[in-house]
Order: sequence, then structure tokens, then C-alpha cells
Amino acid sequence: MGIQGGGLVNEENTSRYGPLFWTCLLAGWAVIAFGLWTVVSRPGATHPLRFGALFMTVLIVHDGVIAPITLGIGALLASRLPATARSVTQGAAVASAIVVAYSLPLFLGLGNRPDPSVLPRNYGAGLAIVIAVVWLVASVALLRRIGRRA
Amino acid sequence: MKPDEMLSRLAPPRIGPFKQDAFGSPLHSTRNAAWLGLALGISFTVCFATGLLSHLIQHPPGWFSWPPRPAWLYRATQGVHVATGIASIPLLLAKLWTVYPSLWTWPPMRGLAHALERVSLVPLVGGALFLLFSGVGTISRWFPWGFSFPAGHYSAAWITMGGLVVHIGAKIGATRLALSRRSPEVRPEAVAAQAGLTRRGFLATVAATTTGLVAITVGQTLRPLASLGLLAPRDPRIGPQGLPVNKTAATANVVEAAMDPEYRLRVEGPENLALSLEDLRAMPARTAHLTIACVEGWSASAEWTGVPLRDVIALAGGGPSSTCRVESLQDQRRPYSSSEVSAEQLADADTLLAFELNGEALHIDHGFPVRLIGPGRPGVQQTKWVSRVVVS
Repeated sequence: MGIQGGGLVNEENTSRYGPLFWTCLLAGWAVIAFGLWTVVSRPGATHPLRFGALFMTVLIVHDGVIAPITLGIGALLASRLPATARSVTQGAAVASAIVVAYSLPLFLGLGNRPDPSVLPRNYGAGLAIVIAVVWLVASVALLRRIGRRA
Repeated sequence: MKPDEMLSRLAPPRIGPFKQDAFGSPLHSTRNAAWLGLALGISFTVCFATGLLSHLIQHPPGWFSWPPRPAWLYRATQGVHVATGIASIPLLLAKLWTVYPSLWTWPPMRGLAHALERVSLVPLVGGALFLLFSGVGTISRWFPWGFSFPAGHYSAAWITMGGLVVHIGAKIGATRLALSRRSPEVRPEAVAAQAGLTRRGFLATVAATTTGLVAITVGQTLRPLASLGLLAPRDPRIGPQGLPVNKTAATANVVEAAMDPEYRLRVEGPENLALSLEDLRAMPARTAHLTIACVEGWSASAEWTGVPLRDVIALAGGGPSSTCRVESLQDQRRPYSSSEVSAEQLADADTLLAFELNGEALHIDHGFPVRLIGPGRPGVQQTKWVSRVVVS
């Protein structure tokens, strides 16, 4: 069923291993090899060990920590929220989480600011406004939905 | 028995993500994965192309020359690079969430091809996360990795795109099928069991978040949207003389040398010159509307007044085929302390050694006493605090 566009990603392997795959495999690994060569051939700039450390850290932290936590929160929301509020809350939570993830270094002030033109805004306030707008839109959508049902 | 047959005969461990109903949401659908994959494929390709262009402009091989006109082109391509990078954040996170159950697929490999395909996901997914993390860090001026950002970002881009080529080879058939079918995308029983976000609702949420995130950041280069840039790392209206600065004179350690009354601009060509700021001011000046377009994706325009660089080159005996290197007062071992100017760029009368910004003497953080500014150049090549011009 998966291959017909109606299934879930874990139902079956949707990959096809024809000539196109093998061609792309060779071409793709040639490009990857070039990328790796640009790492090891410029060690003074790329610091291969630190490069590799960041590469594996973001992968492991995403797949091992962020994704499971997100899935857990999603499952919790899906099981605890009343049916009427579920989709709207899930949508607002997804949008909020992504905006927070993007703006973490900004509102935590992690960047260095040698002069006032660098990171010139109040990012805490900016984030608060954006999140408020997201949940305001979600609330309006929810009220309309409740109104329709009533 | 082949190793993959042995693996598939092993009963999957019935714990954690291997449990049969570990991932119940119908949003983990092949069709969603296909839509998000398509969007991500486009955004990453555009981001790669514009990034590679920026790399070529800054490190031009012999066959490549970046023209000064149209003057807005680099501002546009680099603005697009950072905007598509930001747009890729919701797309990538949503895509990885959608296909996450496949990470725990059992058996873990169904043969050589499947194994090679899965191994190729490491450069793809690791590279994609690396690029977005380091990109966001850099525009936020946060560099917690200990290597040169342009060098690492460049290498990771090739590694990621190689992984993408393999992934497209494996998934293009399934993607086409998943997107072409008009049949119900999600099994009816799954829909009934779930009153939450529909597949379309999820995609609409991701699309709205992507659009919204770009809208509240792109004002750093699109001035009409500057007020909307709530989470933009820069505001094109804020900085000394109303213009942002990337490197201050204090950071560059040039304050004393720049303020020295004995300052001379040395021009080394067939003839050697040593020009004071007054000498430069006595030459026929020109005013041009030019843009500082930073590699970090912000840009801002202003009126710059100065002497066309080609006039100074001519004074030192250079001709129409001359090129030059412009050096700043900074320690010449530091990155971005000098820049090369091509013959084509030199021929453009708007390539200036500027000493005024919007009618006022240059602020020291904008390059007092003299800076290079020309049309269509990346900000890092608009060398400030110019001390020496070497004609060749």
C-alpha cells in the first residue's frame, strides 16, 4: 500500500533499486567523496575532527533526543486533548516549536555583539509576539469551529 | 543463508520504536513524505546553487569572473540563499518527523542495495542538519564549533548534495507515485481513529510556518519588510550612519592606524604613490547608490562618494587591462583583510575608493578614512580602511 501513496512510511520499503538507483548511488558517492576530500585537504580551515564531531552530534541529538521528544509530546497531545481542539492545538504547537528552535541563539543572546548593529532587536519580545500571533490565530480557528458545531 | 535473510528471520525486538504500534499517527504517510521531500529537494538545490555561486565569487577559479552588473544580483542571490536556508528549517524538521518510523524499520537491511541506501542517509541527514545548524548559528553570530564556517559549510554542502542524489535515485519512483495518485491518501480506519491534524492540515501548517518564518526574517534584506523582521538577525536601518556593520574598527584592531593624521594610501604600480585623504578629496569625485550585501544575507544601500578606483590606478600608471589587490590596515594574515578587483570591476566607474557616506565623512566602522565599494560585490570584498592598492 505504501508505494501507492496511501500508506505509512514504515509499512514497506518504497525504494526501487533499478539502474537509476545504482547510477545515482555512484554519482552521489562521488560527490560525497569530493566533499570529504575538501574536509581533509584543508585541515587548517575545516578541523576535520571538530567537523566530524558537529556532523555526528547534530545527527545523534536530532534522531536520538529531539525527534523522540517531539513524537512523545505529539502523542500526548493527541491522546489528552478533546477532539475539537486537537488539530488546531497540534498545528499551533508545531509552528511554535519550529519558531522557537530557529530563534534559540537569538533570544538566548548566544551570539557575540561587537556593535549595536549586530542583533539589534529585542528577540525575546519578537518571539513572544510571534508565538502570541500563532496562538491567537489558533484560538480564532477553534472558536469558529466550536461556533459551527453549536 | 545470506546475512539479510538471517536478519529478516529474526523476530523484531518488540520494545520502544520497534513495537508494532509505536508510530500510530497517520501523518507519517508516504504522500506527506513525498510532498515534503519535493519541497526540500527544491529548497536545498536553490540554496546549494546560490551558496556555490557565492563561493565562486569569493574564490574565483581561472574560468570564472563575476560581473559588476547587474549590481543587485549578488544581493538577490545571497538573500535567496539565506531565505531558502531558513525556509528549509520547517521543511526538514517536518520531513524527518514524517519519515522517523523508517529509521526503526525491521529488518534493518534487506540486502546490499537497501543497506547502501541507508548508509547514504548519514551524509544526507547529518549534512542537512549540519548546514541548517551552522547557517542559523552564523547569521545569529554564534559559532560553537571551532572551525572556519565558510570552509565547513562548503564541505558539508557537497556531502549533503551527494546524499541527496543517492536518495533521489532510490525514491523518485515512489515520490512520483505518491504525488500522482488521487486515491485516498490515508487509510479510512486510520483517519477515523485520529481526530487530530489531517495530512493536509499538517502540510498546511508546515507551509504556513515556512512562509511565516521567511516573512519575519527576510526584512533584513528586503527593506520594505524591515519592520516585520521580528526575528531577523539584522535591521538594514540600524547601524552607524543608518547602515549595519559586520566588523567594527575596534574588532579589526585598526582604530589607531585609521585615525593617524599621517595616514597615506599607498598605490603600488608602474609608479608608486602615497596619497593623503586630502589628495584623494582633491581628485574629481563621484557619488553612486551602492549596496553592502553581506554573505550573511542582510543588505543595505546608501549614497557613497569617492574617487573611481580606476582613476587612482591610472594615476599610478595602470591601464584598462589592469587588476588590483586592495588591502586594509588590518593584519594581512586575517581573513577578509584584502580583496581582488577584476579588470571588469575596475572598468566600472562606480567602483569607488569612498570617503563619504550619505554626504558625511565615513564613520570609522564603515572604513574611515577610505574604503572600497563597488557594484555587485559581496560585502566581505568591500574592503574597509584601505591602506594599500597593488596594481598588476
